Amino acid sequence: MKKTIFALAMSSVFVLPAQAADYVIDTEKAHAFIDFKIQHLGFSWMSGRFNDFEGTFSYDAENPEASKIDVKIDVASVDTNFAERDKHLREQFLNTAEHPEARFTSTSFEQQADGTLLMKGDFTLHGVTKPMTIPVEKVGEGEDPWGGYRVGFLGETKFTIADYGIDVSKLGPSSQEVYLTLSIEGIRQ
Amino acid sequence: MRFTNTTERYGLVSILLHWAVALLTIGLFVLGLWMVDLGYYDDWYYQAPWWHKGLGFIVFLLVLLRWLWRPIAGKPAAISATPIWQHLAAKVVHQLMNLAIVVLAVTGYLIVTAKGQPLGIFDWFNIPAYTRLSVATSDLVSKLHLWSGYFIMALASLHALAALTHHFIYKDATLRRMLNL
Repeated sequence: MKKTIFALAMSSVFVLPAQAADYVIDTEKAHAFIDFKIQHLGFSWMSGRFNDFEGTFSYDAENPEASKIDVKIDVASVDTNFAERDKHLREQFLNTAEHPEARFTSTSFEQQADGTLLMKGDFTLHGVTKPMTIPVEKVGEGEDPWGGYRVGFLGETKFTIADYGIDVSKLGPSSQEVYLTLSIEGIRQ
Repeated sequence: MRFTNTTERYGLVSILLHWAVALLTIGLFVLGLWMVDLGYYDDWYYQAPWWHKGLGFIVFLLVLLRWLWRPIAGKPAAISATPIWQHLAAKVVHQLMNLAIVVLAVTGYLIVTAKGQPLGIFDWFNIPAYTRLSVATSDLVSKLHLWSGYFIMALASLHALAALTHHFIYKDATLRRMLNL
């Protein structure tokens, strides 16, 4: 009898219908990064990041196409390790006084044959919202050493800056596109 | 011509300090407004801020020098025909201009050093960062720098207008004695 109850209890654990779990992006302990790079004069890459952002997502390895993500970025936190350039970016390009927030909200996920996901969504920057597609791969998931459960992803994309109403014509022909790298780890709630 | 001041007129040192600070301050104001809109491929893109920082430091030194020189050199007597409220108004404007210069110097330094980079004065030396600022504080400091620039230009206009009024309407020595005429 006891065995049967135990078996029933166990089976209920294992055959529960796959349910997407909710995750909070681990910005508190800084295990998430929104990095960018742009060409400098066509000679080299200049990289920077947004220090302040927050977001949540839901994900289930059994049903990845049901995933959702929403990330808000404090654009004024742009950091290229040079105070004068960051001020210039805030004031002359990103206009953070008027458009303090950037946001990515997913609309759909497509499972690709190679195991990666194609994340589609709306990206808002500089007050302009446009559809954006970001190929995403899962880096790993599992229990962390402190009693929690985590999953992490890496996504990379590029976009034309002028599409968001930011005039970068004076930066030269090599610097019209910016590459975004999203390195995101979430803690299951 | 004397180096120090007399009760009648200003000496060479005071005159040179006054006009050097005046011209450099106006120059820095114009340079500052101009340089922030330069395009990346502009020849002056890096040169203009280089000059702005170096000259800004020089102006600050000159103002300190004026404060040191003043008690040493003495000061011409006030022109007695001028009403007392005008003396007071002139004093207030002078002190506000001094204050604006200090605010401009401090905020200028903080803008550059906000993320720990030193402030380079020409290619002579670097002034290290004292503290790091949050983005919000840094933006406030930038605004304060700009507003202080406008403020000192407004004060300087009042100051110049008053000097011209003395020269052309009251026909007294106020402006002449600062020009060694």
